[in-house]
Amino acid sequence: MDQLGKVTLSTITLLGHQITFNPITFIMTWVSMALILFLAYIATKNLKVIPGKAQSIFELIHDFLYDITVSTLGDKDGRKYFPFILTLFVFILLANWIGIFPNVFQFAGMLIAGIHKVFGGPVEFANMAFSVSPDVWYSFLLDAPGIQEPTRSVNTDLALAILVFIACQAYGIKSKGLWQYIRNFADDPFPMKGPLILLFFINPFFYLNLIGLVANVVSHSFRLFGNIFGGFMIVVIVSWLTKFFLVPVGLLAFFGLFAGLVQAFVFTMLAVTYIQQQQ
Amino acid sequence: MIEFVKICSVLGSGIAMGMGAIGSAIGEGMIAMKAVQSLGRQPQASGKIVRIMIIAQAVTETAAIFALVVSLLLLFQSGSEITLKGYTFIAAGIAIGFGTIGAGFGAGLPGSAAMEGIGKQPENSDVLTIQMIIGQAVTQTSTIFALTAALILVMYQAPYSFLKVFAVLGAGFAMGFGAVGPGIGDGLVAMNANKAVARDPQHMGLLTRTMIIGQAITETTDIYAMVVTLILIFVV
Repeated sequence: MDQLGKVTLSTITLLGHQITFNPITFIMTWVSMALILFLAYIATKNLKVIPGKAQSIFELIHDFLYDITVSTLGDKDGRKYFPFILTLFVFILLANWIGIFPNVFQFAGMLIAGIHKVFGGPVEFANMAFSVSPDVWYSFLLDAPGIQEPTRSVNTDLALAILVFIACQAYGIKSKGLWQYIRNFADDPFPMKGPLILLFFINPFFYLNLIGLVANVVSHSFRLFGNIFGGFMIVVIVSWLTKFFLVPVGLLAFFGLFAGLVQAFVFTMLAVTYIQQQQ
Repeated sequence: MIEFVKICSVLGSGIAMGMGAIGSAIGEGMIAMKAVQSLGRQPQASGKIVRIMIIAQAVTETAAIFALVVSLLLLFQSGSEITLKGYTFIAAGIAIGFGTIGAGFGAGLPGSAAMEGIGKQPENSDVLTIQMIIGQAVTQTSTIFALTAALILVMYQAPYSFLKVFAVLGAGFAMGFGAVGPGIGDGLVAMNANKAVARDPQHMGLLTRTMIIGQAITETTDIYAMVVTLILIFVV
């Protein structure tokens, strides 16, 4: 239970600044991106007019999201934004699902340590964990970090939300024009007519709209973070209460697979809706 | 020896989970109620109704999961000196505990409206599901602010002073009670938007846009609460 709040941190020095980051989140983000490339390669390797099983699944995801995006944003803008929306969905889905894989390295290390202990090796067993001296060859396996969902780290979620935020604002400037886009902050929801716009700073809704912009990013990112982090905590604590003898497969299926899918869909849908609001 | 921080954290943990279970439970119950009514009307659409009921309930449960996260975070804290730390834990429990009541109940309202609509016209279920999920997700904004405030309070460190203790507790109350109204209000907006979509699916785009603008304005009171909370934590 001590390792519940433990985060692996690395520090690098770049241009005189110390930058602290979580290397596992980094690695896991790259792993999910590699998985997406691999799946995309499989999906497009030999396309047929009559799709096989694998191609049907990919076409199902594609068509479902395509219909929603085009019907919400219109034909022209929907087509333009669809690759972004599909990438968001697939990345978040894989990033959420990657966490259901167990820590295979640690498991292998514990297996070897257990066998070693039976044959009289220098292995201690206390508090449901093996401890070995660091010069044994398999000690690195016992310390191996687990597989974490990148979305369990709030940094990834915040980055994704900021990405959507920038896409929305760029779309807003493009579709309304820069002047109308800026005016909108003072005009929403009560339009200020003519020269009255110069008094925008006494309009409380101006400040409210600005805060609302930031609040959208916060709610968008923390919704994903809270759900994935919460699911992980529940699984870990139930496993801990059963002393790791019972792996809660049902909970993993619910929080890992089902909630991961629903939250990926919710995040993507909100991105589409935020973009549509700028029309 | 009195373990002050431990005492405060178990109290906060209890408040968080006990209060946090109220809203989501009522919301999920309402969804199931309408699902059962719809099943009575259209038994042949049972697969669709049960599937969408489970999705709606899973999204509604988010609020309770947030409360559980903070509750479990608080449960494993310890410390014996009388510091600000203990009071921030109580405040975090109050913020997330009361803050989930509105959103849990509110997210149940669009869910129940969607279940009712699917019972009347099962062929509109795709449109209704999307509308329902957007409505529920925006409704949960208030509880997400409460979660953010609670996590800030759990991590917060400052020197002890009598004023600061009450500022932190006040921040917990501001966020907790401030999130109740917007959650229910947003839920009412989303419920009626869902009813309208069920009646008239081709106007979904207009309805969704109006719903989100209405919900955003309903949420302004929640943003006031968030601003006051942050001022109480960081400025006072």
